[in-house]
Amino acid sequence: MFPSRFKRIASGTAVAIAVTLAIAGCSSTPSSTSNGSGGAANLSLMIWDPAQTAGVQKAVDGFEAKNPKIKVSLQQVPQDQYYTKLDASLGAGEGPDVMWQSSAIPVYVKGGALEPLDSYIKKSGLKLSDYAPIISNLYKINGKQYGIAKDQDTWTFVYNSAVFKKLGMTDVPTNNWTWDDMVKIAKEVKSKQTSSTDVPMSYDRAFNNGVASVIHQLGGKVVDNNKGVVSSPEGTKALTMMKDLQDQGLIPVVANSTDFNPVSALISGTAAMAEIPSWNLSLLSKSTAPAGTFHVVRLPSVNGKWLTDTNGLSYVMNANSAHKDASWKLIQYLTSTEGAVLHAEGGASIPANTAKSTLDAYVTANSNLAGLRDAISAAHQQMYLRTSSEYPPVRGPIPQIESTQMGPFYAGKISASDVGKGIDQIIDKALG
Amino acid sequence: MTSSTLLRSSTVATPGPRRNKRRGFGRRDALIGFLFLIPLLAGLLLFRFYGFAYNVWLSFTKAGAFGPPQFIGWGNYQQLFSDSQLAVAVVNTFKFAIIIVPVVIVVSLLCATVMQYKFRGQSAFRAIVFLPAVFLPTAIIFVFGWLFQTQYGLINTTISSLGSSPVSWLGSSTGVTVVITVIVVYLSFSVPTIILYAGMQEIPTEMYEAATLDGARPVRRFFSITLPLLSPSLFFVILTTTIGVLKLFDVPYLLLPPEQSTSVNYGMTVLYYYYQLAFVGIGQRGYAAAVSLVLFVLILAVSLIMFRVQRRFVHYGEDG
Repeated sequence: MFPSRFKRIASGTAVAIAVTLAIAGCSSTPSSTSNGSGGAANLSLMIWDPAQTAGVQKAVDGFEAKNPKIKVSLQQVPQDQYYTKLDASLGAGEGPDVMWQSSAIPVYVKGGALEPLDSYIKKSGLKLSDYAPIISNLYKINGKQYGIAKDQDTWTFVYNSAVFKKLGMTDVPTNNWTWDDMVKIAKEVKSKQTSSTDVPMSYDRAFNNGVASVIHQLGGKVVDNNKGVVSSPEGTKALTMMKDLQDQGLIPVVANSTDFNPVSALISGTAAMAEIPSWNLSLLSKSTAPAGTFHVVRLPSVNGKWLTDTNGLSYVMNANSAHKDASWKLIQYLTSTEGAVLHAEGGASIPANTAKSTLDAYVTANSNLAGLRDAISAAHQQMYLRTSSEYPPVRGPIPQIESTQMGPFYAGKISASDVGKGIDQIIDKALG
Repeated sequence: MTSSTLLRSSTVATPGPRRNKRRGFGRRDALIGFLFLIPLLAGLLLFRFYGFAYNVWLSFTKAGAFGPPQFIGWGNYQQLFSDSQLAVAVVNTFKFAIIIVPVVIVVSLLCATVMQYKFRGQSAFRAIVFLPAVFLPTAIIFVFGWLFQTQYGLINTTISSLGSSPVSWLGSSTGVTVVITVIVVYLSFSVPTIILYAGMQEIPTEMYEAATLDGARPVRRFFSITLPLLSPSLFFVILTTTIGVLKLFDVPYLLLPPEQSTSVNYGMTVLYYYYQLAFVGIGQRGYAAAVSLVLFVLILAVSLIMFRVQRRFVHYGEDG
């Protein structure tokens, strides 16, 4: 049927393909490679935020200029794939040398995937006191430091001055304003807006960011003694205050909120003012609106408090990295004042390094936003860690809180006290 | 090929004296063939069978996003019965299947029927029918998302210009059902149309001619000739569309992203719920695996029922 020579070639080819595939399937590709010369290394660095890629790359360039023997390959993975990819690679003993971590870090520490940094910190003389303690401590697990804080987010309020001018508004949000001032201004804006698609303002109605911060402003908590306490009087009041904003037509009704984007609404002028997280401020500063169109102030105070939640990421090291010293050098540089300034010049995040020059760089990068420095400084005075409402175990059920509790609550189907109890049940179940 | 022709050919292929040598050749040929199949089999073993078996194992464990799974026996399966979110997801999944599958079939049948006639613009019509099959689904979903956008969407702008109040398409269960139905039907009707059209080509024209001579009108011809003789293609299309809709994920996920939506439950499907459990937050992959097996069992059950029911309605012709 076939000439014997052909058969030999064919069978040889098939065996070769099979063996090659088998070997390829079993072999592991190291995430970093060495060229054999002293101190030289190729490192991999994995991040998720596309808005921060330019800033991180700038800092990486600065690092490579100072460490010519170390090459860094920066990989940006979309956020919803980041942990999936990380889990698979770290689980296989591979993964990037250096990567971002969030408050999900305890899971990775428990799994032995991350390198404790204490000895490197001691050897290099890095001072943890140079970083916002609220964020830095987030990465201290069982007494060991696993991450060096890279940024610190916060929430601010932004108003579109062109819209205020057009509507003939004289009262504008300030760094001294209160919740009542906000409601008064929003009502006045509403009375002057003419288009049916306009809304006076946007306030994050989500439980974790919006309601939880008002609970803290009222002196309450979300989780206490490992139990959900949203059904407390503060919780019920915060929920009621937020729903009142909707019922008075000051924020979009819940049915219209799914495809409502506060940043787009501010830029288009559909909304006169909006609560905006710091990681979205650069979207406003990079918009085509003339400089000074957007003014930033702190959140309105409730009972004299304007607490906002904060969180921040850190750079961590893979426990299986083949180049731990080089990886540490990279982490140290990226979080140093010099590296943080370069990163902040990208404009997308506020560094956790508390040196004045880092905030200066962030403010300069977003110089189109009026009042940014004062607003951030005021916000930094009063913050609580988001993980106090978003414990890692609660991260999973947060969508459930939104869809089964907050949605029906805003739609008027559940009372504030019942929704508080419902949220507590979900939190308690998650905290186990 | 019938069994008698098979016998004949095997007899011809194995004459007495050379039989052993030929058989030896056949074995070696088969061996080479199998060696070439190894990459495919390896892929199947690794990505299908191993993946499925690992998923079954995971469903008996408490597995987070990272770290070794911990065996917990039937714990995850017990949890399934008290999970109200899963109930919402199952009800939604079947609701979408019950609404979407008939619409896809009716639209495909209509388009396939129209494609049979010659008319001006026939080629353009065929191209328009097949376009959704080659479009990027994500792009289509976003375009429809913008069309149905509450404040600025073209649909609401049109409704407003006609004097009615705008509809919160993504803010109510009915609205979400309508939007998802429209998008899924648009994305799904092309291939069934082609299959049904091909099935219609197989129907002998003599049947229609005979029926016409007997006085059957077009509607009668459609229901008495086209539909029965098209039933094998129709069954295939119904089965594959049903399975596709039971696995619905991309449309609700892109329209109602989990992290910001209070309306996400209106579009929550079993696969979307699985995704939330497994990949959002810290992950509950053990329980998610149990949920995915629920979907597997549901699809299997629906498929078996459909195969059982089709015996009564599907005509495979005299040969079948």
